[in-house]
Amino acid sequence: MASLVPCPHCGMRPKEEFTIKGAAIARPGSHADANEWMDYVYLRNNPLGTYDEYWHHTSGCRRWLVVTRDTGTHEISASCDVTVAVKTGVAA
Amino acid sequence: MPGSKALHGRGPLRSPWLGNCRVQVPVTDAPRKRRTQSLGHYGVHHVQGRNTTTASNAVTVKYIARLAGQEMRKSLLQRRSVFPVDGEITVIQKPGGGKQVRTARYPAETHPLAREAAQNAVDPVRLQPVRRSAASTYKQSVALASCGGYCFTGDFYPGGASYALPVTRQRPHIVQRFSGEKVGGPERFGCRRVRHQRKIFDKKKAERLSYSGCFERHGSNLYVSVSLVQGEFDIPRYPFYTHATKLADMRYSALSIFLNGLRGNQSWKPAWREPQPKSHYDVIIVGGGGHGLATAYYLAKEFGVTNVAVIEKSYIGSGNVGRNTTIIRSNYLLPGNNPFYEYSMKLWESLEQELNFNAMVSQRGVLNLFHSDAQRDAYTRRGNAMLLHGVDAELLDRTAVRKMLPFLDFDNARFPIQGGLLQRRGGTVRHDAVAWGYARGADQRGVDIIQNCEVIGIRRDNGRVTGVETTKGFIRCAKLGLAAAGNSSRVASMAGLKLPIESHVLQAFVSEGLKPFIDGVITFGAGHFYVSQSDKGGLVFGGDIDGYNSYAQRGNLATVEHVAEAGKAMIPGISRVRVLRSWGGIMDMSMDGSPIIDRTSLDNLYLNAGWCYGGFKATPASGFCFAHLLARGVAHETARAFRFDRFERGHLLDEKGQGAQANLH
Repeated sequence: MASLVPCPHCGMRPKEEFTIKGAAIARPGSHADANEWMDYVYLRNNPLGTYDEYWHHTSGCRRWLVVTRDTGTHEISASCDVTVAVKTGVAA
Repeated sequence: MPGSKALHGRGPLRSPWLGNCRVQVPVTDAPRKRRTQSLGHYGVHHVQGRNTTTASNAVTVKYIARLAGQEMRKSLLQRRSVFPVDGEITVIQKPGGGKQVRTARYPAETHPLAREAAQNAVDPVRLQPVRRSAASTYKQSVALASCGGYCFTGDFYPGGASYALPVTRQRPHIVQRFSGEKVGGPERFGCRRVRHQRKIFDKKKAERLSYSGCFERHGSNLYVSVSLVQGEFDIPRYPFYTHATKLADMRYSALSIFLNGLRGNQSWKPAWREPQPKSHYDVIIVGGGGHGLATAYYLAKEFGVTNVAVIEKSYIGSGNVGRNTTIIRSNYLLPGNNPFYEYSMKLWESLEQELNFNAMVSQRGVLNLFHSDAQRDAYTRRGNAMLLHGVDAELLDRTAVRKMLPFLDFDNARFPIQGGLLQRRGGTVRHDAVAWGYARGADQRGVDIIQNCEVIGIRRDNGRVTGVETTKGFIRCAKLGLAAAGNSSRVASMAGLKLPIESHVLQAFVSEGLKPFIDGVITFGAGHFYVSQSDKGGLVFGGDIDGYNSYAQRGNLATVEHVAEAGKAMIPGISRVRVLRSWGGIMDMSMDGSPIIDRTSLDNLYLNAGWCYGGFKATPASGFCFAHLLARGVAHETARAFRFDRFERGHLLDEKGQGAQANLH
């Protein structure tokens, strides 16, 4: 994996500045049933390939990002601020 | 041939000190004769300090059969080689790694070997052109055949053409003469075979027999195979082969080492077969790692289920069982975990005797350091929980730790060492030997270990699994067990399951060799670092997972730096130690940090996954409990908490109390 991670606000920054939360998946609505919550909290697709993840630029701009990364090659293909991701439907 | 199964298609050799060997590649595409039978292969050759193996792979060379009917003359046999051929000598020069096979011809009388041959009254032999062989595509290939049951004939493929040289059965010593000359294994092998054959066959009988053999050289490895080309006899009746079979099944012991030493260590047999998959098995286990192999072993041994296949996409020991830091311990807190890991520890303690395999189980102690009052309280609680479960635990104060490990940084400004929780029965095990030992034990009980066979689909019908699609075709099964560790999610998705698992990379490191100074395993309580010292002297250490999902089996430099910093904080003295190598393994990180050994929503599909980075120490118990589940349909008493539905039910088994965040466990 690249040791530099692109931040939409700060540019290429060392990986150590970031904290990784994990899968960027949509949070169920307030009326969601137990199965949907089970799916959201515990179950993961865990694919080999492209994956959207929440990363926090902890030691930088302190913004939450959605980083699109390949779990097989570690290549990062895109990263955007979480608000942008929500607008474009990548995450919620 | 009936009864000769044990001699067929042995896989890579696993002798306890020679390590892995590769499998032979077929040498020729020549059609087989009708009565062709493989005789199996014979032991291992140690050539120029490298490991080589022998394998039979149905290599049958048609032209050899033709030779068998001819009048056998004399020949010399040598690699890189010299032949007295009608007044000329063909020298095939094949420097190791070179790309060209150079053929030169010399008058026979000028070459010392030819003169020697002449002195021994060896008649010149005619070269017999034979069919072009696929072997000619290899840089160097030597096929040997015994004709008339006595001697081998050399067969070379310079630049694509093949020549066979008939040999005399009256002069096997000619073969032997060259055995000592920089030719290494094959000729010695040939020589031995000659001797064995002399013992076994009477002349009349022998003349009806012929063999073909192929030697292949790939890099520094030499591969040998021998096939019976012509002849009518039942192999198992012959004392040599019976003897060889017995030897193969012989238990490893000081005596077997001694006896094999007397035989030049050429009688070692591969530790397990390399079978082709059958069309149906009672149980198929996906994943030939420690857990899968242990499962197969206990299925066969404890539960009498022997029609079992272990399917591995790469080779045995290529995954996490060969990538961990070899630590065993049972210092768990929770009642759902502790009895299981303690059961595993008990199995470790008797494992080597049971498997008859040296796994270097070393109970050298595992010490978890604590650095604050709160941490002391937590460790005290854990120690008490261990004692309540009948597991040994000792709480050491600072003085006791200092006495044991004086080189630690006790007065670290941020993380002063206050003491430690010690489990003396914890320790280390040579991890790949665990895989090999279980593989050998399972194989001996009839389990098929199918390597280089990747599962690419799970066929289902009516809520049941009917079999698996693999790269070697479809294989039916009555029950399917998944033990695919980091790839669990991928395999389970083939059956439509979504698991509470993320795959993460964990790195491990080995330093250069140092004089022994760390007796046991030490874990740093204030950072991500733990270390032990291997018997070779290298520090084996690691830290935490990198933190992001990965299937790549390699990690990030940021984590390397982090681990090095933590190590330096714990043992300042290692600051100038050089790291020799590092690697990554893919951890099946479950959402509560504990594993799953359970049924699934599919009737006959069983899951063994979610070991996070604690799978190695669990290997024996995991195998035993999974076998128990597969065979009896109910969970083993120590693994009842590892239910698949515990997430849904809210009965999490969260040892660290981190919540549903896979990369924090």
